[in-house]
This record gives sequence, C-alpha cells and structure tokens, in this order.
Amino acid sequence: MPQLTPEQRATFFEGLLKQRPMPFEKIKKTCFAEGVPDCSATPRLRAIAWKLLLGYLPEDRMQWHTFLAMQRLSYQAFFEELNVDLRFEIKKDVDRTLPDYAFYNTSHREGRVHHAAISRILFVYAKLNPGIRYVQGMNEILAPIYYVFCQEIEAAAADASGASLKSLGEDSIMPTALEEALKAVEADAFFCFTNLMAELRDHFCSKLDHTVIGITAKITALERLIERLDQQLSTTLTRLRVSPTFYGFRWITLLMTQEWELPDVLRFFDSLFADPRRDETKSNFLIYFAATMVRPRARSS
Amino acid sequence: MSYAYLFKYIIIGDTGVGKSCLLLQFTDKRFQQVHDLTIGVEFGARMITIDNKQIKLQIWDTAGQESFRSITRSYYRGAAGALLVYDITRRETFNHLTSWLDDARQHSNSNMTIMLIGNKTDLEHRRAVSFEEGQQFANEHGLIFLETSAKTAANVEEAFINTARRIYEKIQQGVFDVSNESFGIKVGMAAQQTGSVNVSIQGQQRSSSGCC
Repeated sequence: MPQLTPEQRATFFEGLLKQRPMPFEKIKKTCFAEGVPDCSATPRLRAIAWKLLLGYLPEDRMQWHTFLAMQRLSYQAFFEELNVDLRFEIKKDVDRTLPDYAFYNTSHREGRVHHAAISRILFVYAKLNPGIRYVQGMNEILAPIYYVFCQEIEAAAADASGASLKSLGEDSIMPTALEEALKAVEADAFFCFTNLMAELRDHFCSKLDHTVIGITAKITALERLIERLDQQLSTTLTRLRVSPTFYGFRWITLLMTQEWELPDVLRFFDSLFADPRRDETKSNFLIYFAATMVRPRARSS
Repeated sequence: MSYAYLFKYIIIGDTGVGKSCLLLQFTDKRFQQVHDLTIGVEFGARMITIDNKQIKLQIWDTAGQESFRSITRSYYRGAAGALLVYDITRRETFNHLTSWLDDARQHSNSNMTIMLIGNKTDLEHRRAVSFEEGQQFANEHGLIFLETSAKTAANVEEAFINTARRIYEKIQQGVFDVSNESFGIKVGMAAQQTGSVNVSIQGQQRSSSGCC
C-alpha cells in the first residue's frame, strides 16, 4: 500500500467502520499494525475502535443505538448499593490516578467529576464481582479507557456540524447534553473495563498467584521469552539476581500504564486490544512487548 | 562510588500511610502531595556516613495492598532493615501493625532491625494515635520508634540513619556474618575486604528463576 497521510488513513479507517457487514478482522489488523490513525478524528475513531475490539459494541452498526441505550440504563441500575469502606478504599487510589494530567487533576472541577466517575465504575465492578472485589491497579487500567471515551464527547462538541458523526450513525449514540454524555461515557467505560477484566482478573487474584493462570505463570513466561530472545541478557540478569518479578509484576498487571506517558499508553492499547493472540496468555503481544523493554537497544534492533 | 557496606531495607505498612513519600523525601529531599500508587516494588538508594564509613542504603519500597500476597514475600529476602510505617491520623493502620510484624518476622532473618514509624505528624490536628501508644507498641515488640512527616521532612533522615546505625552496631558486635548475604549486608571495596562485588540489585539467596 502506498504511504498515506494520516487524513487519508482516517478516511480509509472510517470507511471500514461504515461497511456492512463490518470487516472486523480488517479493522483489527489495522489497529494492531498501525494503531488508530492519528488525526483530528482520532478521539472519536479510537473510542469506537476500542469499544469494538473489547467486544462491547456489536458488529452490526444498526444495533448500536438500542444496545448502548440499554447498557447505559443497566449501569445506572447497578449503582445502587452503597458501601462506605469500599468507597473509601477506592477513593484513596483514584485520588492517586494519573495525578500529573490536568484531565484527572482534582484542583479543577472537571478533574473531580472524572474522579467521581472512575470511582463509581470501580465500585460497581467490585460489587458485581465479589470474588475479586477491588484490587489496587485496576484504577490504572481503567483511567486511559475512560479518558479516551471522554475525548469522544469533546470531539463531538467541537464537531458541532456533526457531519462525519452522522455519517457513522453516531449522533444518536452520543447524547448532546454534557451531563448525559458523561453518564454515557461512564457506562461504556464500565462495560469495556469489565470485558477487559474478564481476561485480566486472574492477575489480581492472590489465590491464583501460583497457579497456571495466575500472575507468576505470566512472569515465568516473560522470563522464558527473554531467555529465548537473548541468552546473554538472561544470564546477566540471573547473575545480578534481578528477578523478573521485580519489574514484570507491575508491567503485566498494569498493562504498562505506569511505564509510559498517556499518549504512548493509548497507542499501546490500540495494539494490545487488537492483538490476534490476546488469549494466548504465554506468547501474546504484552509479553513480547515486555521482553523487548528489557532488551538493551543495541541488541534489539 | 565505593562504600564500606551496603544495607538492604524494605519499607512496609498499609496502603496510603506514606511509604513512597518517605522514600522520596529521603532520596530526593522533596515531597509530592499526590504520589502514584505503588504496584509491586520500587527502588531507591542513597549513600550515608556512619562512623566515617560510607554506607549505601538500597531501599525496597513495597505496595501496601499486596503485602499478604505470597509473590511479594520475596522482597523480604535478605533485608537488613525494615521500616514499618503507619499513619497517625488513621487508627486502622496502627491496628494492623501486629499482622505486619508477624509477616515480616516470618519472612525475614531474625536479626533484621525494625524501625516503627508513625508518619504524617504535619497533620497533628487529625491525630488518632498518640505518641505514647506508638512508643509502647515499639517497646513491647523490641522495635526502634520515631514519628515523622514526609511532608515537612521532620525525622525522615533520622528514621533511615538511626536504623543504619543500629545495623552497623550489630556488625561491630559480631552479630552478623557479613559474608552471608542473607543478612542483607554487603561488604564493599571501601571496607578493604575481598570477595564482594558492587552490584545494583542484591538480596535474593536463590537464583531468580522459578521465583518464590
């Protein structure tokens, strides 16, 4: 394919989203290899792409409107029970989520609104999943997802004419009033987070730490991969007693969210969510990416 | 830079008591009002001087919520000192000290020096645990005790350095076999002894493969 400008890529990508039936595999491949095209339409395209990749939005675009309306109502219904201890526990961590970004800065009103929203999402998740409840680090995974979905509102507001949104059948998805829009974002982020956690929850469960599905098994997979890719490095790390647990635990549990700046995390998530081998827990994109981060630059090229 | 000894420390205690802030104040001399959540373990290091000897402190800052996960117990391996931290404004963090202590004693060597720290003295108006209670707990369990403020830096230097001084005294008294790494002490080139190499990470007795 000849080199396309970001705008051309965005048009192409939007074209894929509009096709019926939706060429899901093609969309997935594009996200994995190139990421969501970087241009003025990115916030909107990325939010839709992530909702598809995380198995939230159905492939049939005609169902989106009804589906989303239903999901957003269900979410409101979930948020009924109250539990003061759990709310405090979550609040303590949410207050420490991406504190360097204005979006989540609590000295602004908007930051407090976003904090309250991600706190509620984690709370509802913990209530609906009593076996796993809330575990530190879930906040870090949720924050970029919620952020991206909020960007969609801003994009919609800026794009007041709504021409391109309409062409996607999107104007009916995103309520116009800001408050309603924020509620919608919260519900969407909740369901996408829940779907993602279905794959990741074992990492957060201490009872599974030493089983074949727990975090230790993932860290061992990372260690084996490093060994296979770079024997010399592996020997050096072993000699220095740098256990992969010391870095791999955080990298894998948090999906790299504490290792990179937010814009890089967003691009990383494009590939992560579109990874064709996401369910092959021992040789997926995340493990390969982690192994690459350990390798010295000179040898990794 | 060469050192006479390297001591491995571990910082433990409930989530949100200020472990990472104490470390940041000690290594960087600054305070961060909102510090990122610690997941797994973070590292810090600083050189101090005791008895005219350069001592390198290698500090492992752990995540409060993960403490009782077996995966994090490997962090205790080979620690010479532990800072056990609670928050003087939150009673429950003080009430959990016994289980922290059990966990620490169970997974570390019996000669590990433990410093009990009541943090956040800058929030005196919200104090929920008195100085005397902290002191009494420390006496009962054979710990050194200090109240600190990672925010104002009050007693932070002392917390890390007094612990090191106690470890140093134990070395002088021959309590440790310093050639045995399980005590969390490494002898550096500056001590003019043989058989040790400066490495940036140490502490595990076993090979890192098949951890825990």
